[in-house]
Amino acid sequence: MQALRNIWFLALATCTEGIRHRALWAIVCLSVLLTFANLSVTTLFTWDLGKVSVEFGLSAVAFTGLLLVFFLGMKILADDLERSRIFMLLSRPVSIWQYLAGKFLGLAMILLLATIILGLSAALSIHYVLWQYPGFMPPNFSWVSYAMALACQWMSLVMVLSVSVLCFSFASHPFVALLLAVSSYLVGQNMELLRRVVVENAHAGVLTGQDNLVFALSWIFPNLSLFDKKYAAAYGIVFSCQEFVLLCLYAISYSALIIYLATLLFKRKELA
Amino acid sequence: MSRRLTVHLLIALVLVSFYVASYNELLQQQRGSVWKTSLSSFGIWNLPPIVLLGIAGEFKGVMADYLTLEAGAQLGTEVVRNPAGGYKSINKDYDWQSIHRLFVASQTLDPSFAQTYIVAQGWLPWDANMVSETQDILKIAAKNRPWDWQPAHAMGFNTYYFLKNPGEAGEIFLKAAKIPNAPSYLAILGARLAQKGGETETAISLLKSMLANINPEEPGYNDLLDRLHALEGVLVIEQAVNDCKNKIGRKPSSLSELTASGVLAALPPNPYNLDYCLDAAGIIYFDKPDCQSSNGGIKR
Repeated sequence: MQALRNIWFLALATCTEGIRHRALWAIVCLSVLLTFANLSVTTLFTWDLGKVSVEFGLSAVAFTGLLLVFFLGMKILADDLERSRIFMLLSRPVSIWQYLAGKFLGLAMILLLATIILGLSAALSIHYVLWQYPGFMPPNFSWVSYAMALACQWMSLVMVLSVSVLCFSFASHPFVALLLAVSSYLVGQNMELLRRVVVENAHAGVLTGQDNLVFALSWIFPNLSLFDKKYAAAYGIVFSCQEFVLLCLYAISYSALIIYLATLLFKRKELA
Repeated sequence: MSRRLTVHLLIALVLVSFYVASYNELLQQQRGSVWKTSLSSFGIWNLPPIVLLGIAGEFKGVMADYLTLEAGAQLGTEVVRNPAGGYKSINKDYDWQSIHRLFVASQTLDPSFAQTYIVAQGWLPWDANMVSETQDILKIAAKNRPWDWQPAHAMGFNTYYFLKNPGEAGEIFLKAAKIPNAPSYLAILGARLAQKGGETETAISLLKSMLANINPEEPGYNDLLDRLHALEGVLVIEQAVNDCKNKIGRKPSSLSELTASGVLAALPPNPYNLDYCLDAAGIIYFDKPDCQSSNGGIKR
């Protein structure tokens, strides 16, 4: 019980710290900017305006989320080490796993806040575009699909965050951790593509016949392409609740495993 | 203090002048050669599709939007200021291969995007004579937009107009007509073209399958039914013409020869209350009783 309380307090403190970084204000400004950008970008097109609007809105959420993970998240983690705040925390009855879990949850909360703010502003701009040009409403478009795509986006960001925490836990320098996290994100985004290239293409060069390697990699790196539901939301393609639930379970289990691994590695890290 | 300020201003002035002069010269040089060199020759869209997909990651849709905008920007007439006053339009020397690659790249990233296939259809078959390439783009669009009849409609049009294949065009139109919200004229047009291209049986079976999915109370149902009955009549006559050819060793000289020779007891009824007509090429018409006089055919 005490452990959960510690984690919760740490998560709240991390979230507050994130907001104090003025990141939230930057996000609010960005959301306003992107809302107007969505309205003007959409008018550059002649067909499928609804699709352009939805995809632009969700891409804006994804882009901002990535910036938050790679820059704000890593900075908050690095600041604890550089300003020696971590010693203050660890000298109290807070274990390393509680510390990492708390930090991770706090950062995930910041991401959730950002996703909600950006998602709402994107929804407003999409609603305006669809109201202005009702003829370009994607067939079977539903706000439920949009909300589910937004939730998938957040889960994808949380998985990237967990990998970032893992990289931070063993990298010697925050910049190295950043590079590793960005690389992992790129690999994760293209995991499905890589699998298809190797499995379906007999002329894949050095990758030909490396099915087992790709299979192993797909279990190590997060398969982020599965969470990319922008296309489905933009064209009103229904994706099942079962798939959504399975994605939730995958995100939770992968993140939990990675944070556990990060705890083991962080214990071996020389903090001083 | 004022001397220092003057020195700073002078340095700033020199630097700004240097910057303006060099950048202006660069722009002049670029603009001088831009009309000869197609801008579309260089760009991310020249990468293999698999690499493009890898780079785009989760931003595939937005990148496809950008590429389609880029294609739109490359096309069209360019209007520039005339040194003597006013404006003049410049006929650009399009690099159609690169523009085609742009469309393909955009479609690789987002195979459902309407703007890609519509702009491609508007330019490639007409100005670049790239009909088969356009058909490929339309085929992908049709596959990925099962709710949209327009890619198939454009394919049918290209097949009829550019490839001069009415039979295949008719089949494509008939398939397009089966898509929800497709205009009813597509079925009639498709059936007509399919029959004209010698695909009467295909036209009949497609019309039958369409009618099976339409409520008889719906407007246009009776038009389709009439067209079906007319085509069934044409099919009966076509088969009779073949039987007659086997029997007497030549094509019949008129449709009345079919009844006279006993191949047919009577000509089938025509729902349009017109006489069927057999032209010199052996095509049976249900709506052109004067086909003999218009193209030298044989009238019943």
